[in-house]
Amino acid sequence: MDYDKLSKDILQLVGGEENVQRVIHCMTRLRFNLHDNAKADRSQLEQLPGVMGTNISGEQFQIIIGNDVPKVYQAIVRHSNLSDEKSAGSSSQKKNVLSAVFDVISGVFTPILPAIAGAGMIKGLVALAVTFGWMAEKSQVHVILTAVGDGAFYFLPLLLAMSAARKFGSNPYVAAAIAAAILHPDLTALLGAGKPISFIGLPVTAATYSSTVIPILLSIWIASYVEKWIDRFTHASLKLIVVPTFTLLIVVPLTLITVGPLGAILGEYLSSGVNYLFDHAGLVAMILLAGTFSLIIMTGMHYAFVPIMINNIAQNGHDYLLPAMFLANMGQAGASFAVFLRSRNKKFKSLALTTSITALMGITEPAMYGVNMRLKKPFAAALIGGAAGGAFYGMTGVASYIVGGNAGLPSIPVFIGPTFIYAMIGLVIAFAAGTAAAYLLGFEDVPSDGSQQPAVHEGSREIIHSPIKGEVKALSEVKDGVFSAGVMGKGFAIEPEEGEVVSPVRGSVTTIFKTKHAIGITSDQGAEILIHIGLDTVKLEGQWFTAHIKEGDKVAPGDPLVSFDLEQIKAAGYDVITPVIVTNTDQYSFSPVKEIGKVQPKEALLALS
Amino acid sequence: MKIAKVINNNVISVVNEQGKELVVMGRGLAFQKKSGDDVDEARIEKVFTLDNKDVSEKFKTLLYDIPIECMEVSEEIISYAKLQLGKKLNDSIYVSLTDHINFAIQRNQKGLDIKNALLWETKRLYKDEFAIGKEALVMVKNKTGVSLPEDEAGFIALHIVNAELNEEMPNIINITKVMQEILSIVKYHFKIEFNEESLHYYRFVTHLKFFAQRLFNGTHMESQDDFLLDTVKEKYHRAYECTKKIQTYIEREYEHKLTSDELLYLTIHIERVVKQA
Repeated sequence: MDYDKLSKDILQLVGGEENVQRVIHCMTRLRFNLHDNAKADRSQLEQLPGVMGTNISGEQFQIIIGNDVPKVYQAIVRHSNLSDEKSAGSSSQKKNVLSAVFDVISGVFTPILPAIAGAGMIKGLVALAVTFGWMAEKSQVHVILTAVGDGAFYFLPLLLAMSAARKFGSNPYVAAAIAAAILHPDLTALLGAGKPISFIGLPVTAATYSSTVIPILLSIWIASYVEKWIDRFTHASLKLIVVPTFTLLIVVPLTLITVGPLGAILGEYLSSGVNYLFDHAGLVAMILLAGTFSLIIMTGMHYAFVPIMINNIAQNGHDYLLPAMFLANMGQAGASFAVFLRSRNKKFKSLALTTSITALMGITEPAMYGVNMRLKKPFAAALIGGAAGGAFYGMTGVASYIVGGNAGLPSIPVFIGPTFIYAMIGLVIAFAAGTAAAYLLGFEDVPSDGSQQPAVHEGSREIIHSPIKGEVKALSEVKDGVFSAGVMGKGFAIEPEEGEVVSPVRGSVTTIFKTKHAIGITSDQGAEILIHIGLDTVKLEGQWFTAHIKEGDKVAPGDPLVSFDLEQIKAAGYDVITPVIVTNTDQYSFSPVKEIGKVQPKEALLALS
Repeated sequence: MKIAKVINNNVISVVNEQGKELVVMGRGLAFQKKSGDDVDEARIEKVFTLDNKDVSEKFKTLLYDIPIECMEVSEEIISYAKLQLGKKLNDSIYVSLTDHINFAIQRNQKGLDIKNALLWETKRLYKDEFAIGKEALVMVKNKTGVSLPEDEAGFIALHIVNAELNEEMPNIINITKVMQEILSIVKYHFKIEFNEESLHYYRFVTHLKFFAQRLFNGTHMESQDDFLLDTVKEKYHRAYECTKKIQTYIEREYEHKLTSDELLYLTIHIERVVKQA
């Protein structure tokens, strides 16, 4: 059966994605919570091949599919933003503003990542092909391939508009229309002409919107309010025509008049400020600029730098701005490379590597928004990487000598000149510093799947120590779904090197199983801990295990609990990896002290609070 | 009665008065006979009336090259199982078990015993069937002189469970796995040892068996009303916490949402089995 088609048809016939609050499935049915059940076309739905019937139970609109329901459900999730919204809406914790802004940006970028990652790869390859002379610049093939790679970036605001609209809860197609309007070629030409522009008497600032991020996000954020506001004052029969008309009429000019200047005017000041700094304090300027260029790119203010860049080359024969941009990009590449090294989430790991490579090629959006900003700390690390490279460039006076297309490895020829060697060393420094900083700062990994919302437990921190000498691993590496899926609770696993298990906390023994392969301990502060020695070892029925404690015994960290014959158990074909799990996980938030590497008994591994 | 078809020296098929095809077994029953000859009724040991045409065809094909001892012992085991369990078994067991025993004997004679990865689970989850499996090994020994290992008692037990649930063998293996996983979650969540002799445990395991069967077959316990669940949630909140873990596990590993009825029954069973342990 064509699940993709079926899922699209179903989505359309239940009144479109906009009409769906939530969809779940059971064994045989898709269960929709719709805003308006009347918008669903039951008779048409029942005609679809693969749909066995429909049913309304309470408020819930059900579509009976049969055994294939998980596949249809997955297809629906794939073709819509439905499950994303559910998890996005569920975080109720207070966050600081910067962190919230980062969350919005990375949340908006996540759905569009495939498009920009793919286009970015093409862009990088095209640049490489030109550098090595495999493709003539401005040849027709080059123009076409450039359009293929550049389309998603030039029209980035369009992609972002739809994604942002879903996040802010406004109509995604109206949002796309807003983005399309501000990217319209005629408008772009007018804004770029350099003449003063006004709109019914109000001044419109000349600004570039293509490839920018912040302006469109602000614009759609405003649009989400405008739309709701108009909606409230409009009679239902007129909504279809009135709401989008006025939303567009209000938001587009408002963006041009108020949001545009933010980027453009600030950019003007910024660029003259930077120029001033370079003239008077080159080293500091280079550190500052290379360390913050990523932020400047985000706002689109870097466009204000382009004329200066060209001017610098034309007048002085060299320029410092492009090198700074190079360093910023290397920092981003380095930081997401560190994410690749450290993340435990397989999907995210491969994403981090791909984005790191495209960032090396000078296309940083996927790395910046998709990886570093999403995890926050790596973004800071990327800035540190840029600044570190900046310090080196500042000291050695590296400059670029021609106007380059992009700031990535394919454009290295821009450095050809007296400082070429230093330029290369600086790039390596920025990358390495970005990697090292991200690696050391660490980050909260993207959970493999499912949601994470640790409730904060009142009370003091509690430390879980290692109960065994060996190597710590993530629970997800345990080859037993009951432990690795994380449903039993959070914790860690140890690949033992010795057959001695000691208490990880101060508390009392709740359970020592008859077969002695598992121990339950309740800490004095209430954490319920399960130590399960090896997998499937219950089948050994106690053979090769010796218990040193009994139920109810008081124990302190390091007190012996159970000894086992490591070699015999291994020889009998059992996996000896030992999961250590806090089974009342919901009551704590977790911060790992040590996540990988060799550990000694009693070494602190996990902090609960 | 006339022979419709000679399958081998010991097995024939006949057509009875109702026009239905029966498989008839007896030592030397068809020796030097051909279709159309009269059946020597004195030699008939067993008549198989297999309702399902498909099973009946498979059975006949299978019988072409299976020694009579195997058929006899398999028939003996199945009759014994029916008697012990007091349940109807799906006819397909005549095919699957006969085939399995034939194969097990052949393997054993070549020294190729297969380890039963589910032996431990089978002993605990299907006690009655496993006891029959052990008895079956004695029957095999008496009939053929071959001593099969305990692992085979486990396999025989699984074939019997199969026939009880009208399932396919791969499903039984999955069902057993899920049952064991859920039991582990409960055991380690509460850190308790189950009293495997208790009635509550027996009931819980039986519930899990059908729960797992529903899971894989997509049959669906419909819930109309969450009132009971809400009450139980409040009253047995410790058990419900554990149920939620199971729910998450099933959703992640098997991509199935549990209905509130399923949650309700799991919670009640868990509450009982935990209270008693």
